[in-house]
Amino acid sequence: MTAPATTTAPPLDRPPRNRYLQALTTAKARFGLTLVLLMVAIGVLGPLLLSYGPEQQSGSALTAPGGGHPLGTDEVGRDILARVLHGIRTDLVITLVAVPIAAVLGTALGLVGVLSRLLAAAVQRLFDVLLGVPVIILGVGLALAAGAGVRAIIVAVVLATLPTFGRQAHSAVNSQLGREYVTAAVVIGTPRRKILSRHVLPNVVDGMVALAAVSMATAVTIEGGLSVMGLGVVPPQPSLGSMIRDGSPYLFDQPQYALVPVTVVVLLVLGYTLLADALNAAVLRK
Amino acid sequence: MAYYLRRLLGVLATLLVVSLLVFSLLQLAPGDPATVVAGPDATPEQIAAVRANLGLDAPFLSRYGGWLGDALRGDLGTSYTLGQPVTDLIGQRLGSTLQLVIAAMLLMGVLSAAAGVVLATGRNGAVRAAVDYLTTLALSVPPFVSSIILIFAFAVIWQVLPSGGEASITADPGGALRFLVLPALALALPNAAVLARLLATDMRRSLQEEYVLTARAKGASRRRIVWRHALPASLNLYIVQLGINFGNLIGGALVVEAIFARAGIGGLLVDAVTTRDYPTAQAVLLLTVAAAILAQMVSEMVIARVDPRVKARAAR
Repeated sequence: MTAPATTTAPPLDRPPRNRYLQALTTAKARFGLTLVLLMVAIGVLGPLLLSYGPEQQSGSALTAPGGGHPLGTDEVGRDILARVLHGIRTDLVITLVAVPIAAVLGTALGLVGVLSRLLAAAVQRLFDVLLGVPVIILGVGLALAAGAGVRAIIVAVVLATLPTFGRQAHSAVNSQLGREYVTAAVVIGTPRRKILSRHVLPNVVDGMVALAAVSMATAVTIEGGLSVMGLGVVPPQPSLGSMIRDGSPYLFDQPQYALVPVTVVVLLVLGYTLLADALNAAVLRK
Repeated sequence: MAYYLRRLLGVLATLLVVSLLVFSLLQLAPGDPATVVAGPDATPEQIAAVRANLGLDAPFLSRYGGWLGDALRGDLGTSYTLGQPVTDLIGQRLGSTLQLVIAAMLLMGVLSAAAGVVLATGRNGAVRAAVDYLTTLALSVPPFVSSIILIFAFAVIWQVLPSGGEASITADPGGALRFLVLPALALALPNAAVLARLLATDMRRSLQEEYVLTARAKGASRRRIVWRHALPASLNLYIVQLGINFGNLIGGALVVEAIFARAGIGGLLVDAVTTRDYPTAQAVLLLTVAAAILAQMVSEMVIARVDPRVKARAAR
């Protein structure tokens, strides 16, 4: 009982234990995290509980929900629930492959500014070009060059989100390198490598985490947009976008066909957006 | 003047890079375009003849130069599959897409101004919170999702608007507008949400400025201050965002057209990509990217014209 009971708040100069965990204390952020985890769990575990495969014709065409098909069957008699759950998986795979590649590649490109100004300028020009091309158009171009499919979508997501990571890393480095403590570290002879890893990189990583959440939402949007146009995931593989495309002609008779994947997309993207907002706020607050 | 010239040169360089990328898509693509044109039953000799006829056996750079030169003169080639000049094909369908994009831009302006003003100045906490949640939700709803939700609400449940199709704007303006409402709204909503949030932040800052205090001291009403002083001060932001978002509006329009079965350039592009009609696909890709880049340039130049700080910053 020797601890001073009067101090309720920690001293201001003490760094928070973990900013990312702290970011999750708001109601919005928790809601976002719950949504994302729920969708991931459904996508990963859901298919294990099913009796039908996503490409298996297990009933007659377009039956109403019920009788072993909780969401009914599609136009060729496949179980809609199975296709939605596997569709979530397709989107998760695209997201989890593309976003880390974009984050690492984009950040690395953004950091080359440390090596040479000329190289940095060239990289920024490249980012300008990439950002100037609308993401859907970029995806269509890749579908034309490489053939539509998951691979083209992944490349489109990488190219579309990579510049944001690069710009963020570039400005984080520039903002830190000018600071007095960095000058002080240089003066006392701290090796360049150590300055980068100890002082600059943590700031780069902070921004990366929030951007990753934004990019995951972008990935779902790109997959959906391309698949709805018919230039995304190739049938019979299901994805959230292709389910919406296939279900939209039946909105009058079988609304659940399109509305279930639509709901999944909304919840997933909402979850990513809320998480990104919270992480951004936490990074700014520090 | 130097500022505009430098921007123009930068944009031209970007366009050149983009055109090279678009042209090399054909180079990267698997398979031989000549086999597409010659048809499935063609003999190797026929395919070779088609290849020579299309100029496909010339070196890459000379073909690129020829294509770019023709494109600059307004000749985008002939469709492999439809046999018509690509400019004609685009001309027939561009109007539909432009109607959609323009209608979406108008809706975007109105919706984002209303939501932004409420977010920045709304005194009713419940209303402000509701608008805040609605904009967050709209942010999370890409156009292909908002399309389905709007079709379900207005065409399936209430049955007040058509679920797809279109009418000629010249022959039947009223009908054309009815067909336009849902796709334009679907396209505008996510973009309006982004704009509303930026606008709210910008207006909160404007409302702290001294000229607002002066206006208040002179007895201007709260409404007058918001609509006549703070909102116009955010006009710059509007123009910049419209320029940046124009590309996304076009990209989104292509997706929305697919859902609403509108005969715009989106359908042309999809058909061209699936049938490997390279001249048409390349032309549509080049045009849309060029439009996006040019819109961004124009918006930046307009801003530089009205706000001298932009030029000063660029000169540094």
